[in-house]
Amino acid sequence: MKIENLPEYLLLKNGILIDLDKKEKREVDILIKEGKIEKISKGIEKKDKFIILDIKDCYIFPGLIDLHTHLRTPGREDEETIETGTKAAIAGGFTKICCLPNTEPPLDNESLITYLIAENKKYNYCDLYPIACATKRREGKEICDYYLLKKAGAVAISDDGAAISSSQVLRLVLEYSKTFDLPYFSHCEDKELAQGVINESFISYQLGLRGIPDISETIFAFRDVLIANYVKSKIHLCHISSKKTIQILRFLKENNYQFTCETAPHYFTLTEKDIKNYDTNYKVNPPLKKEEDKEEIKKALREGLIDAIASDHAPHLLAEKEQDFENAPFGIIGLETCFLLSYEELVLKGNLTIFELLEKFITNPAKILGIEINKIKENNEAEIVIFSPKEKYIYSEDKVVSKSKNTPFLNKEFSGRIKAVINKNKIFYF
Amino acid sequence: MKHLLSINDLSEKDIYKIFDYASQFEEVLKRPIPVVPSLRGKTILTLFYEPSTRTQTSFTLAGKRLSCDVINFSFSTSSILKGESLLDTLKNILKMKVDGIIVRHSVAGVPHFLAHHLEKENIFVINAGDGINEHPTQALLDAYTIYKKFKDFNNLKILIIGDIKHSRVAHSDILIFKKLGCKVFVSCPYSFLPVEFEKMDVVYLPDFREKLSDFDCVIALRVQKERHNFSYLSSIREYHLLYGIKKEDLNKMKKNALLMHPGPVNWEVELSYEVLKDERCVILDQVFNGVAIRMAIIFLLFQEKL
Repeated sequence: MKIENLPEYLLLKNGILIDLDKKEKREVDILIKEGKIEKISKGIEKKDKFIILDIKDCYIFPGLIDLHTHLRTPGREDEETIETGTKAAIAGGFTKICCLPNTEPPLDNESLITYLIAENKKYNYCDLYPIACATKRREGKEICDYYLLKKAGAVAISDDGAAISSSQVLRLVLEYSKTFDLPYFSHCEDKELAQGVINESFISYQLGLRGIPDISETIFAFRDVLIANYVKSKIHLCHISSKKTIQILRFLKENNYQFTCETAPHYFTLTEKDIKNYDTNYKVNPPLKKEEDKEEIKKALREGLIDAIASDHAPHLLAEKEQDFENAPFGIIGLETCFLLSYEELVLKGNLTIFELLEKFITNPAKILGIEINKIKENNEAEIVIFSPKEKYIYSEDKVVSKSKNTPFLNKEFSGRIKAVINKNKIFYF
Repeated sequence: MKHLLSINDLSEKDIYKIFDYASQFEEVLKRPIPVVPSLRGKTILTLFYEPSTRTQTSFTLAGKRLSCDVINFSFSTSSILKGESLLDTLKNILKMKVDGIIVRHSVAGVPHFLAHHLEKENIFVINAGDGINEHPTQALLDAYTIYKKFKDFNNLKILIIGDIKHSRVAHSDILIFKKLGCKVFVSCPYSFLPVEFEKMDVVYLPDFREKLSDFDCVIALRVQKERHNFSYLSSIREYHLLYGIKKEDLNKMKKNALLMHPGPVNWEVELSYEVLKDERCVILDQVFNGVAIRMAIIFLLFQEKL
């Protein structure tokens, strides 16, 4: 990965602009002057000072937004730092990322939020939107200072990884957060029921691993949406993975319950059958499920029931992942593969159009967070992804930008490649 | 080198080969000096992360009867907590130059993990029990005990009673009996059945007593009190009442049937003490057969004949 400051004039020639408003593709040239889009039109004439980048056949669209990144800062900078994490985001086409608060210490006070935002400014590769804790120490007991957290820059609240088990506390969280218009990001998992390491099924029996029933997600998704709607507060459900949850959410949507939800690429590309030889790079939470769950996730993406696709980027050290299946931590890195997997599985296989896909990566995440999209139009800062849909790309170990390499997609050949990202007056090449 | 991690690693032919060698080694065990020099100079290590008496002793004896050097490594819970990682332990063992590792661990997949990291080494791994996953050598000695009695597995009806969901013995037993052509029945409360158990292709009997006269072999499993975070049983009294084998149950069983148990028995829980006297109860024969079976497995793995 190469990072350069933008030249005074950069002319992108022959790209295909994906216009999300008009839902059309048009061949255009884009002239960028000092980081700002000066002109978008066909056949912009070359002048002396222009540096030209021919991007024939490449798609151009705004930077992607990730709703679910674990940046591991503060506390576990051995796994990921703000520098490596935000660089990995850029490598995956993301220019705005939300980081979850399950750090050590957790993000339950405004000084940590302030610190993260200041630290990110040092590198300034992408925008960072911290998600603060819903409860102190993520213990599910006492609520945090949402006003102060929001003032410091938090965009949502969540106890990710530790679902709030008390319905009464959750109600309080949702009512208090409503005061400040902060959405609650729910990690739907009935922990008491979910005492295992992979999906509970015949496969968990065959492997002798303790199983997590799929309904542990469904039960809490249902409960959380009901409570949020009871108090009319904003709720977003993270990493939905099971058919049963989708079925319940579909019922809720039909009955006008308000909520948004996301899934992650591994839930529509992998199943529990892929867990071979106790490879801990397939240990994720929620666990990988069955073929029918995978198909239902894709159906829900097509229907628009699932609003967004997020990476659930969860870096872990090799030494932690390279141990027995019970004790290895849950999670895989995903920033760099999230869009590529989605493009391949959803667009190339006819589940979504490129416009629909980008809604799940840009438009809807922006709505969920209540932030503006920096569109590709004249006078806006250039925040652009250049994606080549025709190139092959092998995600080999030397290509990994994240500090950790725990991914089941290592050495996978992708159809499609992110060629460059332009953001914050810099250009990133891959 | 080939490992023995799961019953699935073995073909039917392999299993009969193991039986064949085991019966030859049984002859050795009955000699006044029960030792053969076959594996002189070889070293195996028993790496037991969980407490065990008979399995570790059985492997140790099996190795020594073949003139193999056997080193026993036992880990108390506290030393595991001190935190040497599995991979570090393995690297240390490699430096000590052993030829085979026999491992027991409370987590499923640990033997597979070790085998995976030994890909380039000439060292075999035998799974001596991994969590709630498998215990292949126990299944082999169970099957061998049945084989000695019936000489043919086809259409034998075998009933397994107990915690099917959490028992590694049941898991490996079901795999081997089905591979050998038996019809397998299980009986237990629903709380001891795995989800999607219908995919296991076994017959579930809520009440086995109605059919007791059908079975050629009844295996009672140990109630694994130590394996649960909380009590899966309403009470020992009720479990014994419903699933314990008593003298009157034996009376209903076939005259030539076998009653087995992987041990150690919780008397008056899985079995009434009085059944031990019945000649159909072959629990101690299983222990003897276990040494012969493990000799056969160690020998065949060294000879690379599996």
